[in-house]
Amino acid sequence: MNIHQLNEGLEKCVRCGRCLSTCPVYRCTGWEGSVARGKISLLKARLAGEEALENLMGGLLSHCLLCGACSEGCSSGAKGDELILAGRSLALKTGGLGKIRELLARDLLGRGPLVRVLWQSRSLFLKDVPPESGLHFRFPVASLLGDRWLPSPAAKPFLHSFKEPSAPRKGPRVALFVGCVANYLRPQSAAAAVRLLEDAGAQVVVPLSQVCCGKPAAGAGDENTARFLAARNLRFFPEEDFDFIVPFCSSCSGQLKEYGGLLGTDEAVRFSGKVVELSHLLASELNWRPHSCGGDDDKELRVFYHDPCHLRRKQGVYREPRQLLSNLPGVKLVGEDAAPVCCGHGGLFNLWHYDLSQAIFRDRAESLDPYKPDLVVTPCSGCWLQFEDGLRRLGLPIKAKPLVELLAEKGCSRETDTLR
Amino acid sequence: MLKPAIVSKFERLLGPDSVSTRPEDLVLYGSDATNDPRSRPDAVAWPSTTDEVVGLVRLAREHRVPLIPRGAGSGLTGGALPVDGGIMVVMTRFDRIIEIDGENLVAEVEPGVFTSRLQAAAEKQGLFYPPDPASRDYSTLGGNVAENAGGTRAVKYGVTRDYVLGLTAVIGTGEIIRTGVRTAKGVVGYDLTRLLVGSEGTLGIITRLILRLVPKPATTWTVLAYFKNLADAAATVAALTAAKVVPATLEFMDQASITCVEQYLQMGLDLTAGGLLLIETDGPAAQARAEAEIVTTFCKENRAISVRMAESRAEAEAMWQARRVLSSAVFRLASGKMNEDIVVPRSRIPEMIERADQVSRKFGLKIINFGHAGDGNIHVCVMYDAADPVQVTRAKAAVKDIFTHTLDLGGTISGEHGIGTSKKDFIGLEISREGLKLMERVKAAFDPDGIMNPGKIFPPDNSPFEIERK
Repeated sequence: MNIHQLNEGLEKCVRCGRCLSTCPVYRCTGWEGSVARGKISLLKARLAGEEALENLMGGLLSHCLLCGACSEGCSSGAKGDELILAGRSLALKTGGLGKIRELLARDLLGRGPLVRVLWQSRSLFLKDVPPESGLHFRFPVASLLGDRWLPSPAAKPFLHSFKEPSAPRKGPRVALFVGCVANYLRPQSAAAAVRLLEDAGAQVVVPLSQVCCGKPAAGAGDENTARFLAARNLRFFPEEDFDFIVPFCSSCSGQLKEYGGLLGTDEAVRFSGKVVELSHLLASELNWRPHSCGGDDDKELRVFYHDPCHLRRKQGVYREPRQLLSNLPGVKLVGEDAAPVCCGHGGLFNLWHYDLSQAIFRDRAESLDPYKPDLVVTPCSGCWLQFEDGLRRLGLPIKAKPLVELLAEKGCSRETDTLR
Repeated sequence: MLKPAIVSKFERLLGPDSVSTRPEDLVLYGSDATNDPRSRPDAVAWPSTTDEVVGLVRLAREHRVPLIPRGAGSGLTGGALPVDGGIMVVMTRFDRIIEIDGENLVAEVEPGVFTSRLQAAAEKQGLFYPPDPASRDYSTLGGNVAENAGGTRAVKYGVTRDYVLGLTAVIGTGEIIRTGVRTAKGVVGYDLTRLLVGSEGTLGIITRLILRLVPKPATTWTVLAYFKNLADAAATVAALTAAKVVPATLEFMDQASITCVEQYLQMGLDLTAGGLLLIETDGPAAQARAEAEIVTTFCKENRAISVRMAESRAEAEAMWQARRVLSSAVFRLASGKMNEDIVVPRSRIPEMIERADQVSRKFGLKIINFGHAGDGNIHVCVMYDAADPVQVTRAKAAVKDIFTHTLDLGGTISGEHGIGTSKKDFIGLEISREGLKLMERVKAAFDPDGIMNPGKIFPPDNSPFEIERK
């Protein structure tokens, strides 16, 4: 969005205040700066030259989950989240990310040499805890990640340990885009995705050099890094090789679908055109049905499906995950008609405003109460991390799991084993 | 500009977390829904108790600082605009529902509670707070009371004023007054409650409300009827009145509004229609359904193109969507809107619409009409290009004509939005000079130093518009 488009977009806001009723951040803070209307008025003032606001743009604009609830409910056509994102880009352009920070971002997200070194030496500054212990995972050195629960980094990232199947299969060729959380923190999720897709009759390929989808950079308004990563990924997914590109995480899914617009090349547009969200592929394209798994189904599991904001609002996917879950043996889908509630993770928001992120999560947790689930599943890695951390913090007897893992666990035949 | 020394006094009074002069807060709280980009307060304060409000008022009197009370900032007439600096007193920390008393049909609430939150809480107990302004999800009860907000259910249930039994307010002298009763009836001394309802924050700051509740209606039936023209719709309304049927809501939209909403929602509204009526009946199932059927019959008898009774809550909600989004959806037609909420006697609605058409032709501006056919409250929206100064002038003149016509038909220039800053130039068309002077004397009794929301309601001395003396 250029300045002219930004101005035009801002003009659409008529200040009615409807966004106050849909914004998860405003709901927690009651502060006008939390909500789209407020940020729009700040952007308008800034663009009209109000000096005092110049240095505050980055900080104030970070106060947004980019969940899109404001845009969805706006009857005047103001796209709050898009305008705020454009504001972030503007703030970066004028304030500058700084060459060093930009290089660091690219290295970190692009799996450059620095991040590889950090990974190898992680035992020096990360305290490992067993995955099931439920203890907080502390970073004694960096205060950045504070006191939150995070899964221990895997002994080996998924992309280091995955091996192609020895025998080629028939069926549509599907390239799996793993995503950083599954890759570094939960490789068994990615393995489950492979198993599931093969079970559905697809031939799964995993380009091992893939890098971060770029969503964290895009979300921060760093269009340069986002484009850099997009161009990188495009190289590793030669289009003639695949019928579909399937992201494990629904946030990656949204970002990969943006590559066409981000890079503007025909190649990028074709790439984005091949991106198909995982549950949509399974349910609607491959018509996957669970096989009955005998054995450990002693008690029916009450499962609640959490809609990631980006998947439901921006990609329109909400029926297929529910469809897949309702067909699973040993699983009772509860609260499927419940109104969607943002989990409060918001990607970078969780880093910038952790306490607020947890306060917003509390609303999500409370809304689960009438349904008494045993387990919450979701296809977004960010949402999943938020549930793991937040449910523990609140001491609730509810577990969380990536959607794909439950589908594979309850629906697949036992023979296939992909974490070779 | 307030001197920093004075701002520090306010900070010491409420604590640093409750007063802000940060540039972003001055921008954020410089406007309500009237979209005036120029105004800024000198500071923003968030009190949480009546005593803190008393402290604010005393300090404001001492230093002659204007105080502007604010709820959610969704008012349409500039009631929460800081016209001359001052301190924006944001009441959203007063957010408790103190009690819902089902035995006595009374709710005690703080003014910062959002209206739909009280409604939901009441309905959980089988009770009902009827006033439902379109902004109920994003307006507060305090704001509703200050503006005497209306809503679609006014035709059967009345307006906010009819549900305020009593209140607590800190008036401009710094004194706390407790007005009204907590009982169903009472007449003891002057009715200060009624005086404060609709006073738009110019007499005092409300810190507690005692609201009347009614039993929740058992069922609701929704009917949507399209007509070739508004005259037929008006005839239907007249027929309902004659038959002594009082629906819970009786809304109308003209062709321009239907088109506007359809462009936005694409829900299959009939674009050939000259108007539509959206009617709800409520009450015990047998009675409400029977009334809905009478409504349907009258629509058909008055040449409705089509009539449909909603068969599910979801369908009724969809019908209501169209009506609710209208106020902001009209901005898709033009960047500027003067949204007037005039009221005429119900029987004169068709005439008023005809007069509005005349005004539209006279000034070459599009005018959209929709609103509460049941009580004569029409939202007359004059659309114009906000960037074109010629159109702006014409729009203002058009609004003046609309008001003149309204008063000519025995109406009033504001049904539920209030005067604020938007209409103070015109109030003299309706209230005599003596009346205004008396109101000003009353205000002086409440607010001797003139700190309570100055610049609202009362016209400047050189107001161009006045009632012609007979």
